[in-house]
Amino acid sequence: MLVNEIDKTKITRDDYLVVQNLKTQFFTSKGIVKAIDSVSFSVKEGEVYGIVGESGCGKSVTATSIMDLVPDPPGRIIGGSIYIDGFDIISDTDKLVKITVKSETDVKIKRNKRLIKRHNYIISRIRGKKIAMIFQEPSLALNPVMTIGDQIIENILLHNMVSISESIIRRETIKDQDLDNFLSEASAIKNHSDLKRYVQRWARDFGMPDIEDSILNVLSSNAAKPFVRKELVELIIPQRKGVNINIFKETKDYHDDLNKLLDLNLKLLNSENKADTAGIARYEQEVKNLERQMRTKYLTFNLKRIILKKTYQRVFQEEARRRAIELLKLVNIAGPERVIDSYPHELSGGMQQRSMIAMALASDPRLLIADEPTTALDVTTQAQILDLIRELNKFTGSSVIFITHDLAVIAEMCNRVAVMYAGNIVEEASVDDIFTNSKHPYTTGLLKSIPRTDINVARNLRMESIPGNVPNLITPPTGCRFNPRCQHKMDVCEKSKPKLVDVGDGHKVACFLYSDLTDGDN
Amino acid sequence: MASENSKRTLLYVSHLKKYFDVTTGFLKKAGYVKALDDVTFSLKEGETVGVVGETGCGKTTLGRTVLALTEATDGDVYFNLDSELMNKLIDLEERFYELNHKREKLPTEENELAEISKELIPLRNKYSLTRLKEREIRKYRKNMQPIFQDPFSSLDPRKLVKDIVSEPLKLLSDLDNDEISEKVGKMINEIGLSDDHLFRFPHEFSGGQRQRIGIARAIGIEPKMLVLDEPTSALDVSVQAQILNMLKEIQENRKLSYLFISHHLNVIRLMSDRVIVMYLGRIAEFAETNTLFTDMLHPYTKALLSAIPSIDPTKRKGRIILEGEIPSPSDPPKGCYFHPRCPEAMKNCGWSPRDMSEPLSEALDPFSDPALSVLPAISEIIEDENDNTLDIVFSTAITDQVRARELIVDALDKASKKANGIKFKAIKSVAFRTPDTLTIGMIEPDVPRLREVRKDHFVSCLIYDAGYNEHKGRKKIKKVTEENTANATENYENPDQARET
Amino acid sequence: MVLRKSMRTPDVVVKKRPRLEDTIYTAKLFFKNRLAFVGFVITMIYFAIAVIDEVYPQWLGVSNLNSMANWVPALSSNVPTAPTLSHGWMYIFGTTQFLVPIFPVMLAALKFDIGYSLLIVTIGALFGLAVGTIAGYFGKIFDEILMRVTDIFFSVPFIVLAFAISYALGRSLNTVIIALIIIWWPIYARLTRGLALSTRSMKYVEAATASGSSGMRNVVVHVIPNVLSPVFVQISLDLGSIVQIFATLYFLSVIQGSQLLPELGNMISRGQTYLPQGIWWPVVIPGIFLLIFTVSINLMGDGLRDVLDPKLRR
Ligand SMILES: Nc1ncnc2c1ncn2[C@@H]1O[C@H](COP(=O)(O)OP(=O)(O)O)[C@@H](O)[C@H]1O
Ligand SMILES: Nc1ncnc2c1ncn2[C@@H]1O[C@H](COP(=O)(O)OP(=O)(O)O)[C@@H](O)[C@H]1O
Ligand code: SF4
Ligand code: SF4
Ligand SMILES: [Mg+2]
Ligand SMILES: [Mg+2]
Repeated sequence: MLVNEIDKTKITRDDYLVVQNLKTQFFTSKGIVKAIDSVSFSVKEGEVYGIVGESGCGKSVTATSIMDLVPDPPGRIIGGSIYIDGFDIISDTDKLVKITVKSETDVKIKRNKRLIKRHNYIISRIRGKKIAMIFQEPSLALNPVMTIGDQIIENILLHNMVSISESIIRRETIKDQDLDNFLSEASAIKNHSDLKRYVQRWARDFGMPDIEDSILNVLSSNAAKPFVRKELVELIIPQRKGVNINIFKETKDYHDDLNKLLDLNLKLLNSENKADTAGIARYEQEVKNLERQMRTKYLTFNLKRIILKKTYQRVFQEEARRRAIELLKLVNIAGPERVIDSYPHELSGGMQQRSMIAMALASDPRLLIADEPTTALDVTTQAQILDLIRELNKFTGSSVIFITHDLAVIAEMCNRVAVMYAGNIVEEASVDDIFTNSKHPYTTGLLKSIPRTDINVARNLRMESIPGNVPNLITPPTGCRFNPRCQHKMDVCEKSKPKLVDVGDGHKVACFLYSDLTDGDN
Repeated sequence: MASENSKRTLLYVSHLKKYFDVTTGFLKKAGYVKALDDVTFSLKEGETVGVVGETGCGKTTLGRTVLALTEATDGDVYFNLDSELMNKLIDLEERFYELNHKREKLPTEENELAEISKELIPLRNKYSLTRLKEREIRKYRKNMQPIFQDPFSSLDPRKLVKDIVSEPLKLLSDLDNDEISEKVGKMINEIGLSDDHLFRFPHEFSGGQRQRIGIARAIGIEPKMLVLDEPTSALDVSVQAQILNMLKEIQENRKLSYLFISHHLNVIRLMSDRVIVMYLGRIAEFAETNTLFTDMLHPYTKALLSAIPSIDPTKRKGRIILEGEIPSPSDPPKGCYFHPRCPEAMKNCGWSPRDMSEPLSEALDPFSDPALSVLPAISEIIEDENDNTLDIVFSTAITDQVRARELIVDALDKASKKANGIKFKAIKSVAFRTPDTLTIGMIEPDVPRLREVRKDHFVSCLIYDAGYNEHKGRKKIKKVTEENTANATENYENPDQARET
Repeated sequence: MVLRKSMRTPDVVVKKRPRLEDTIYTAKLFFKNRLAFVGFVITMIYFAIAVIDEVYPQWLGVSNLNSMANWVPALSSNVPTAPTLSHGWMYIFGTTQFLVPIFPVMLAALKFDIGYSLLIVTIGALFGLAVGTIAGYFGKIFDEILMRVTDIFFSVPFIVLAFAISYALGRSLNTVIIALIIIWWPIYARLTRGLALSTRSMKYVEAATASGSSGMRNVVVHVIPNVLSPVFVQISLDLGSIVQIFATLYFLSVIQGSQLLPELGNMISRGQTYLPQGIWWPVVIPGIFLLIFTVSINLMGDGLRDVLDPKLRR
């Protein structure tokens, strides 16, 4: 990966994403679609969390809400919190708009432009840095008039200026000492795949992944050590471009400061949320200070940047292009040098999906949201992509939210699963529990209605099915939204909404068969 | 494929081909897509034959050609004929193709072929749906109806449900209007909707309900066969189960035959008696459902089945992850279409120059084999599909060609022992044509035919071609191939030397 | 076969007149769009004026245009009179150079303009629809020929074509109308061809074919009803532009005819002579009148397009 590989021993398995009481609605001409009706869950670091349910259950809306990409109009997040890395990114929702509901079809939405602008600024930076999303239809998510490479490069340049600058600086200032360190460490590694990985990382850190294979070849040849060193130097010298590194140092500082600014803004947002006046005052002051500092500090930098634009941009472009090729290799695209210059329509569905994944990885996300990434693909391609996502999760240690309607895919991919129905999470458990010990009538029905090949079925046997359809969410059933289709329906089910409660070992169910608790919102 | 089974054969498809022209500009033909390439199978009364395969392998085209909704390029479709006539046609067609396929025929066989053609051709013209005029096909339409995948485009948005369901009755039955209304009312109840739904437009229904309406339209005319093209692929699992149950019920009540097309293997397993696995317009394997799912023979079927995600963790072992993508059907690989991705490919499976240039440049790269660093750099590799050769052009002329050839042969030999190295075993000759051009010749590939490897189990794979031994299975073949190529260096011919001596 | 109760969908009230209800629903959707509603109302007013002028011209007081010049009281010069209310409401927008009051002439002009536009668009649409659907559905050679023919029409600028045709036929208003019909049908042919092409591949057409429906029946029963609504939208959008083209053609003196003909294009182009003298009303007032018409009819067309979009109906 572009960032250093996460040390597995250090993974805290803390909750990286926490969603609480999320509510998202669509204000359409036919009425208000209550698409997400109080959803809460959390995703731990490094975990693959599955969301499963039939179409129209709100899986995609949950994902787009986390990304804050809900199409507005007609959609709005109208309540709840989404904590990413500890920061509540939607705490200011109520301040951004005032929604007055006169009737189902007559809703007034008043927007606060200034706050929305600030909100979008923060969100867009977070979105790039911390979470990324891949979509069901890669052909719709990719820009048809840009080459795959340009799209990846754009993403890389947007989010990786610090690490790109660093590697350019290292490359231009590489010292004998660095080389010696490299050689001594490399010679200590005996295992070939470990060596390969080490060389990859080193070549990337020093901005010369082009010669990664050549370095490996030199190292694997059994020649004497001084000879190896000489060959290495010969390889490395032409990689240096002799550019003025000051500007790259400044670029790095500049982007470091931008990141600091983002953190301060988030802290400010959280203080506002808690109405902590002392905090607000402090962070407002800090934001102001930093902004003032940056203005003076980077005055000449910005000038220089304009003057040196051509060289400056070329070096960044080249470096980003290298990384793009590397990403394409990472997602197992054959012939990345060719693919990088092709347009999306020239690629097959599987290749498009891989490119999509490469693009998502360009920003080094800590959380990857995959919304039905294989639904449009054939089984053999699906197997490839699932394999890839699994590998990436292992390799980078980033969390994954995996959304699908296919329970079998969930079984293969996930650690924990949430089952969604009509805008609610009705059951959440570890993968094993869901499949061996499902509790909610919907989950049980769903499991029974999938055709399975692992059981030999008699030809004349009927499958069990859930009667009826997923309800329309403008006028959803009252109480438990599953009640019109439920075999175990009781009187209480129509009146109140069951709360998602833990029935042991982190297995959560929202059903009156297991607990009397009702959800306070209803 | 004439069966001893007592059940009547309702549909017999013989060597069906459908090529779509690829046109560019003003009616200019630039080649064709082989959507169906020699497809043969039969469907019995009351039986379900499943057709499974990945996108673009020709499933939909097969359904449409069988229903005579699109003209076939070649081949025949016989449907709903008197069983004596049907059996006769099947025998004639089988014998005809068997004789026709033989490269060298005996004089008696030539005579037989001529006689069979004399008998067969008038029968084809009279009965094959691919050769009849639309007017003549009409009388068959009553007995075969389609059901489509997309519940949105399969119902006319401007028509009321009652008009949609009654359309086939109006066009194909002798019923009068009152009888039609009555029948439509009955149908709509049978598929689980109520009379009130007749006076609504399609957009007022959910996907599952629309699919029910489509089914009502198809079975109202009481056909004998339904061609179901992915009938549940657009539906949710819980609704899918409802529809599949209904289809089974309808089939039992009416003794219908189904040609059931789906890319969803589990659904196919649940619904079918026999299953056809397709790859790039050809049948890869055709067998009884349980046999196919438990004892498949074709490498593609193995990969396909192992790729199905499963809830049962024990089923996930030994997953075969295929490399690469399905090739474009407008330019399919030589030999066996599956060979570039086949984990069990052999040297005669179809390796041709275009498969070779990248692996060759890799194998001859001095980085991967330092011994080669004495040779000049390769400036280009030229593929020649017609000649079945590749020219490797070096940047400068080579003086010691014997030594150079030895080095290269060694490198190729090494490459052939690596994983995926089987393609290098398809190299027949290595020789310098000019001082700077080395020509590599490839062996002529074989094309697999669909054969009955076991009873009622058809496979199209060279592993199971002549020489396949049921009990020893694959091993025997493998041994032979290994022996053949044990000493590759000696096995590569050098045409130059051959000429000299 | 009787299905389990649970597999049935809940019963609903019988709808007696589904088509009417569907239309009412469409209308409701349409009128929800305020801009479209305003466009619709203004367009209807224009149409009403045109109809009234045809049936009861005396109501508008524009029955005898030729005698109108005589209404002018004691006006001295042969220069358009400025807007004034002192001679009564007819002079609210001033007069033309013939001293004919602009306001009633504008009203009278609507009859001609709307009439001509309707004529051109309807004939063009009918012909284009027939040719386009058949070409789109049956394809092959017929389609190629249609495409090449329409290519010719589309590659030559509109005005130039109109110019050429009307010069060939004689430069009267009638020939211009014929010229416009000839120019107009390819637009509809192209539009319906594209729609027919996509409708042809719809599975419901295939289902009909599988039931023995002939190609021509498919066109009539399935294709045409499904391409009609975009055609209606296009018609509503085109009505406005044709009047504008008249103005252009008058201005370029492609149309030669009675200077007194009450026609908006005619009025605008004649009035232009006086613009340099700062006399704006003979041009600007009819211009605005025409602009309001085009804009409102476009708003209405856009609204129609929105509600007839099947995606919105699902
Ligand atoms: N842009 C939109 N406008 C109106 N309703 C929407 C929109 N997007 C989604 N919805 C509604 O939200 C609900 C959940 O949709 P979605 O999250 O896409 O379901 P899925 O679980 O299939 O991903 C559905 O009822 C859908 O109709
Ligand atoms: N009308 C057509 N014109 C040209 N090519 C077609 C047409 N229909 C299908 N094909 C091609 O034929 C091949 C098989 O398509 P299809 O039968 O739809 O496959 P499947 O249903 O298995 O996905 C595909 O490569 C497709 O592009
Ligand atoms: S709460 Fe009631 S209706 Fe809902 S799933 Fe449980 S038993 Fe069924
Ligand atoms: S013939 Fe059989 S072994 Fe050879 S490539 Fe094809 S599937 Fe594989
Ligand atoms: Mg979705
Ligand atoms: Mg298909």
